[in-house]
Amino acid sequence: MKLPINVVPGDIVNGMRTDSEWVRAALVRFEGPLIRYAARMVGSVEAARDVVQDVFVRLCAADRAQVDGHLAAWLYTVCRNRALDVARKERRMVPLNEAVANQEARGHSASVLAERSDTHLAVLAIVDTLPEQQQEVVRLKFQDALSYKEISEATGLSVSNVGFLLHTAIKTIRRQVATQTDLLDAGDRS
Amino acid sequence: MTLQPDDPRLTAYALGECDEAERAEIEQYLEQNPEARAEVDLVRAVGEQLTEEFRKEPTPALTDLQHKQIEMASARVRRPWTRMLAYAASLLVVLGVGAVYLQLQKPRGETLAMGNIPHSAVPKSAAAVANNKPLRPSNQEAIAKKEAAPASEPVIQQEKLYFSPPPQMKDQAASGDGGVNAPAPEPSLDAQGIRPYRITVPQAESSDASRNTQQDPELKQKQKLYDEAVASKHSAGSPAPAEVKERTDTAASEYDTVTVGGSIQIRGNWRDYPAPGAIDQRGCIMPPPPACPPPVSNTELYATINENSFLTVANEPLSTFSIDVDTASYANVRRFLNQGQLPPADAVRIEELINYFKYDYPQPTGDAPFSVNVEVNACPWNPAHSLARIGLRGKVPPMAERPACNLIFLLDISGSMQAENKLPLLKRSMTMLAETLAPNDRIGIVVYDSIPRVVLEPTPTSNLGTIRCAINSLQSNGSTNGADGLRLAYNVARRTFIEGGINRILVGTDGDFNVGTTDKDELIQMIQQQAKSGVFLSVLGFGMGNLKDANLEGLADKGNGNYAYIDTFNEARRVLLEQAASTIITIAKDVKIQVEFNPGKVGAYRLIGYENRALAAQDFNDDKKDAGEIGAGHTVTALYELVPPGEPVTPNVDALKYQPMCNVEQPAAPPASDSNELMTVKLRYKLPDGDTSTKLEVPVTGVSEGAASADYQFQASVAAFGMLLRDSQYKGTVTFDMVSELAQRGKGNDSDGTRSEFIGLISIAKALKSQR
Repeated sequence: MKLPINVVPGDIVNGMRTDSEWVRAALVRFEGPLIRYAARMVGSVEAARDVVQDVFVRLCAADRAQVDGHLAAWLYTVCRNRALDVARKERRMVPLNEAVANQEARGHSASVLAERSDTHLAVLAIVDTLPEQQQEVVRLKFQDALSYKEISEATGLSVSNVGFLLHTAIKTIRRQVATQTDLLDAGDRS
Repeated sequence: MTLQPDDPRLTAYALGECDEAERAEIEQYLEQNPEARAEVDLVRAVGEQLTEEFRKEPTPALTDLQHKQIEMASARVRRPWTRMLAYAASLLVVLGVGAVYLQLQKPRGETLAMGNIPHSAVPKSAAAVANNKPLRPSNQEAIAKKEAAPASEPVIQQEKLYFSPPPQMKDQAASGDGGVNAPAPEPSLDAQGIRPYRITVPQAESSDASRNTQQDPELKQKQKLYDEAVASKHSAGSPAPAEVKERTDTAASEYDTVTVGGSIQIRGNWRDYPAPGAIDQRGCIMPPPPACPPPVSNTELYATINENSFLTVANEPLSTFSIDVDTASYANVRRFLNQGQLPPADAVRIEELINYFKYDYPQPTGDAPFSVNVEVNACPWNPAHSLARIGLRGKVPPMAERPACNLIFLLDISGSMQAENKLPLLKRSMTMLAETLAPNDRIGIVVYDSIPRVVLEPTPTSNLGTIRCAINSLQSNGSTNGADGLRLAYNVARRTFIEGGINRILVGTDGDFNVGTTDKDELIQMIQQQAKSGVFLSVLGFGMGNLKDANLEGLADKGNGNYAYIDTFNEARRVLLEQAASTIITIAKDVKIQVEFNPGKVGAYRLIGYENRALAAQDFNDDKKDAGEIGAGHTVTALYELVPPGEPVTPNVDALKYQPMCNVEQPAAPPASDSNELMTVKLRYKLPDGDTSTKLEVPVTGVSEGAASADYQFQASVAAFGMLLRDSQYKGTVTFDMVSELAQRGKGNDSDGTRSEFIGLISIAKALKSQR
């Protein structure tokens, strides 16, 4: 089960007085999700690792008092900005085409998963076909367990916008799942 | 507050995002509204399903080096006098953090076997801390709510963190050998005769950090199986025996001992062990390796290209091939380069690169539906050779004479087409096309996902509103049933066939038709038959990652159509608007080229590109053999690299056994004609509704006068670029700088910007190549 986001392990054990413990705890908790998050933007896990390392180095230099309390939002925001910078620079892409570039990063999994959706319900396959913004928000909410507010801070969207995107995404997923179930049932019957 | 069932605030409530006040209001509303209650439940269900599925994804981690660098960065900031405290505190951290973290990582419903490390095994202070430290109440709530773990069981985990040495087992504490854990004294068999499940991993050095074991579903699965086995032997209610679970990093580091299930200890290197999950001969279950990010599985498919080699005129005086107006390879290569990747060599079809651009060949005069333009000049990448360019240009019939069109769009609307660069792009392009056709042209739309259906009967473009509506209504979902879709489209086209007009199906897809191999032959036969009776087929490829380039090109070939790849709206505009005429209107079909070289003037030659269009010499005169089509206004270009007689060239054939080998170093018998001609270019073509071919012959004498034209230089540049991308053995002295220079010289006035774009691609490719 995921930790509630603003409970950094360091808050629990009183041993965490020094900054480096705090950074380490942040690493333990956020390293994986951040790399995953960045990888979708920069296209490869290798590049994502570099981005995330950079994020944590910056965390070391940041004023802890300012970051404490919304660590997740801070990390995700910094990570997102760095990842987009890297992606833009290395792809020489105009922002309009970011969707296309990111598609490539997701393309391999999407195509593999899309094939699977022919045979059984794969919710993740459906997620991969959502518009990019909805995908990002869905993953932040259900994979990384961020709150609306944190997602809003990280992505720069308003909280109500985030809510709307999630609402729409869930609606789409439900509809697709229902369709697929119908088809499967029809297939079974025929 | 007024709420509807379809309200984002309900979703927010379902996901726990509302504050006190809102929650109260919503709950009040829900009491009176069962439909909304059902909605909320469904939303929660989807949310849980998503969380569950997401959890299966592997969690990546930073490398050791990166961890060290972060540590160094934090050390720089850290005040020095805390460093001493840090190490002491780190032990506490290890136990405390690990305890809570792992505790909370447990999925619902499973009980990770955790128990007390025998007190003797743990440094007393650490144990005291961990045991006595109460969890904060709020967190305990959260934990208790989510976990099935008995609250009474204090959990001590030995988890490896990156910067601190792992806690030492009591036995080893004195040995100080860098943290190698010897196993604790063997817990005895419990009452049911099952040994505890324990994995001990010593960490000699900080190895590749992997949080994956904590969330690894496979490992949990195994644990679950074991637990179930244990539980089934227990009477209901009694807790599982106290087991030691030291879950540490199972990555690259060496295992000293592994004790699982049975109590056999195995020493040795992790890599010697059988695959994870397997049960080796001693009956132990191997723990799984850390999960890795999924390999980049690209399911794109390209046909292999066996590059044309130099052929001696003495042995092979005739070169025969079918023309090709496809341009997909260029767009595809462009897509790769713009994403910072070098395209696979097999995706680079040089003839398609050259044919992408517009050239200034003159319009045909006279009866022939196309003009033939040949230019010969020095070969830039091999000074001793010449480069001959043969260019055809199709006639553009005046608008008044253009026959009426019956266009059926056959669109793949399976789930994978939903991306921005696929179906939405396709819809915009089609709307654009609909707006430019004449009022008596007809557009119909057939779609296929799992069930093909007609969305729009062929409707004259005078009813633009209806057409627009139908296009906008297209939504993607479901799987792909292309074969049936194609059959349906052909039926529709037949029904609304325009006699003497243009009847064509335009397929828009991002993959292939997903048909089995037996069906595929049937499909191809159907396409060929339909093409014979006047309904042609063109293919528009979209997206990436699943582009079955080889299949799509094959379908277009058989259907007497062309294959274009559409990656951006500009390209869509180019193919469907600017080139609408050529994409849709065929002015000559089954166009074949045969070149006869004069051995007195040419020693050997190499056709650049057209590898998958080669024809046997006798196919030229065989009207039953299918070949390519030329659309209105299309230009088609082929390049030959020519070697003068006397220049040495080693053909790729074995030395002849029964007669002396004629290579160019010994000129053949005196040429039958002492003509001055270099070669003769012969063409055969059929009119779109004809069945017999007409032949054209164009003799070519010597090097063209004057300097090479701009088009010629640009074409040479593109061919050279293609050879560099494929790393061709025939590239001679080509360099990216040479390509760039030629392109600049050949840029001309570049009215559509494609040549400048190409020049941009050259620098990208050069940078990418130099990185290798």
